[in-house]
Amino acid sequence: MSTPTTAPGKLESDVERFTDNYRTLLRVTTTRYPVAQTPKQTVWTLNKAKLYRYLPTRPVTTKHRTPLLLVFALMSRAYILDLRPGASFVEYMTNNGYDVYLLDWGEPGIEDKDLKFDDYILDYIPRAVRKMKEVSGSQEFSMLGWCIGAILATSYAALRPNDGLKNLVLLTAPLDFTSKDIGGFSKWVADDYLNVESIITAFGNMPPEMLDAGAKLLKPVENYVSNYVRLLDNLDNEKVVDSWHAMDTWVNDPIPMPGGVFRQLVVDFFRGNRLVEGTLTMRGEKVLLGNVQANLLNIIADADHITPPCHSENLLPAFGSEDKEMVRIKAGHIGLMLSSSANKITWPLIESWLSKRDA
Amino acid sequence: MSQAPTDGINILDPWGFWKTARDSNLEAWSKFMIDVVNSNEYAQATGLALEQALSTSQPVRDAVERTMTQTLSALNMPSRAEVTVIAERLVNVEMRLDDLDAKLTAVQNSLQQTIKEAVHESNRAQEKGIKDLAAKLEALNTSHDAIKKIEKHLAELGTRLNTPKVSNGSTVKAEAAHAPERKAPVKTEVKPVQPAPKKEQEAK
Repeated sequence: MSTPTTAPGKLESDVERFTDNYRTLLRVTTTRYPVAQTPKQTVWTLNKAKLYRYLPTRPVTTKHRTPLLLVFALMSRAYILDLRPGASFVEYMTNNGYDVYLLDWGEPGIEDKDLKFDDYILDYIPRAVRKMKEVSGSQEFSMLGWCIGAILATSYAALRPNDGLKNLVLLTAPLDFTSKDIGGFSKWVADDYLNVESIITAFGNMPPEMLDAGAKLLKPVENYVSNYVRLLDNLDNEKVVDSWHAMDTWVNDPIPMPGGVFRQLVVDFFRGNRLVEGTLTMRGEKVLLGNVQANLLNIIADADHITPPCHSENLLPAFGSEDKEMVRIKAGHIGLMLSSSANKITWPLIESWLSKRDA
Repeated sequence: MSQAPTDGINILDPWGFWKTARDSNLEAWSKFMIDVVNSNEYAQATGLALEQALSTSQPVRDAVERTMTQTLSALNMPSRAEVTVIAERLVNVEMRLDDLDAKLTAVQNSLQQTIKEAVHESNRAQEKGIKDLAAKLEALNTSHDAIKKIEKHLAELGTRLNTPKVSNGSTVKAEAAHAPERKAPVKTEVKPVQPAPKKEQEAK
């Protein structure tokens, strides 16, 4: 039971705590977290795209021979893979002896409105790969594609199976759109409801605000209310605040999607399901999953609301790879690679899978 | 003085009670909203709203663009479309540069490889030449040793030829007593044959 003499002290400490919390709240909602801290060098650029090579943050004992190329989505910043120290897949892999490269697509301008998947897959990726081979000195490489990056990586693997791609890792890959009833996006972009051409005519590129709102509206209460409630509840917990601040910096930093890519994504993938149907072509070449020869690891997030498991869970037999594997992890679309369990489950899984196939 | 929680809710902790109630409400609300946004009605409504917004604003956007193009033209400034065309051409140039860079690198690597191979080949030829020379020198040394042996042998032979013969244990003195008087042998000195330096050099 507190005595009257301690009351002023408690009040003082409460006021101090409130002031600290208020300062923290102001800081995290008005500033950017210093993201992407792993040391890197830019080894290649084309238009807005950049290829980074990462350096380990501590002395590395094991050196893996096969370099790893990371390919992320076109409408989000690629630094999600190197968000902050301790919560960075790039840092984890470099410190485990991998020669890691990240393909950052950059922010497309209005002059890029006609860019299509074809351009990224047949112009950008092969050139980046060529540079990576030159820099690393290895003719073989591994590639990891996440979200839309998985579409790019899969299509590249199918179109250029003899380009040296040895291992292909897909994370939350939106490839199979057979089911039209699962996932909000599939319904929103249905032919009857969304006029793609009017959006592209109006804006050229798909505006980042629309993409951001679209992603957040899939779970509106979580993204617009619970997210901030969680922050308010944990303002005195530095670890939670840091994590929240870094993620908030990334979430509120979206980039436009080139109009040509958006049209293709909606018409060819969501509506036409052409990749699975085997009718998808890029510059006259058929994109056939059966042509993929690289060793394949397909990781599915069980609680993914953006790319539900049905978008790739039945596809394994369609791939031409001899060595192929599918793993399901209890996580969400982003949590798969960034939750507190990512560095205990997902990252070690990818690391060990690649390590076994490095020799 | 503590109050045991009743069904997980501490009635003396109104803040905790409020938090629990809030979280439950948020969860229920979240489930409801997820169902709403995943419905066909919601998709239809948002699609329609977007379409209407875009079609309504289209004339305004067109007018703004037209006015802007005219204004920029009057100010002798490039329009957005013109800048876009230049940017696209720049990207094409950049791609060609990238290809040229790759080709140059390939040529450079090829040249380096060729030079490396040529130097390696030359080094190998030189090494072979040196080895041949060493072998010849060795052969010469062997010949020289053989010649020396022959010389030694000849010298020994010469010595023997010029030395009085000793046989059956009798002394040279006794033999000499019985022998008819003869001239004293001419004292000749047999020197070991020394090969002429010039000849040796020639032999080498």
